[in-house]
Amino acid sequence: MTDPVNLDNLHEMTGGDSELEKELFTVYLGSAEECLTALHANQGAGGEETWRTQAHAWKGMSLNLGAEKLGGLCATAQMNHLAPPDEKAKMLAEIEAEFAQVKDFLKDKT
Amino acid sequence: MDTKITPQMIFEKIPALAAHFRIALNMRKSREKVRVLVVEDQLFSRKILTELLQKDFLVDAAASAKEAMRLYMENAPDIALLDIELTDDSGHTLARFIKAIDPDAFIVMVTGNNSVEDVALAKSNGVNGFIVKPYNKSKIFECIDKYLIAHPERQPKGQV
Repeated sequence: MTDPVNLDNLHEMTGGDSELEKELFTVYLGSAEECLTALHANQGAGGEETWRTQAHAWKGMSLNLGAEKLGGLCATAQMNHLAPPDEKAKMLAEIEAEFAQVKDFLKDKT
Repeated sequence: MDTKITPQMIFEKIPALAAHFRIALNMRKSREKVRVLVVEDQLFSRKILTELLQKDFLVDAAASAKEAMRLYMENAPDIALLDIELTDDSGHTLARFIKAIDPDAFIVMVTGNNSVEDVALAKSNGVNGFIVKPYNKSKIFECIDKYLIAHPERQPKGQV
């Protein structure tokens, strides 16, 4: 099974500085939780633009972390920001499941 | 940021800022290190980029277009890396603002959306480069090398 996060690129960016990486993982997890909360709160009518911007933000940071699958799911959510709430709930469930894997992967690294 | 604000309006309202910016532009020519402005609203992505660049360059980091405008006018950086989708405005608007106050500005747009529209708009704004996320070291340093090749006078001895 493939890891949910490929840290090769991040290692290159940080020069292998493990303390900096720990700090970055903590920042990532905090920001990701904020995006998750915002997505939950904006599945319904009127929340489309917030849904789109939060999915976009989460996509960008996930790709920079190396969480490609999660980044892809966020990209799908961003593109489908006008989808009805039931479809958004399905997208969010997939995002949450993948995020759980990412958190699990990072838990002993923070 | 109000997109109707023009550099002229700001400089007319705050003449001291215009004077300060002219001084900063003059200082740019003699600065020992290349100065880079990173504009990215996401803390995680901003931190990665800032940490990478500050090993070799002077780095200013802004989380919004408004903060970026202030930092640009304060410090006249050599290179501006602008995220396109910011919380308070578009990076394209910011690029146009920067080009209006500093036609020699070296601007690289950074985005998670590799859309035809964004690339076309970036080109029409006269920016110097375009990077699609995820960031990686070679993409970033390619842009900085492109700047240094175009501006050999700003290449500090022993740097890059």
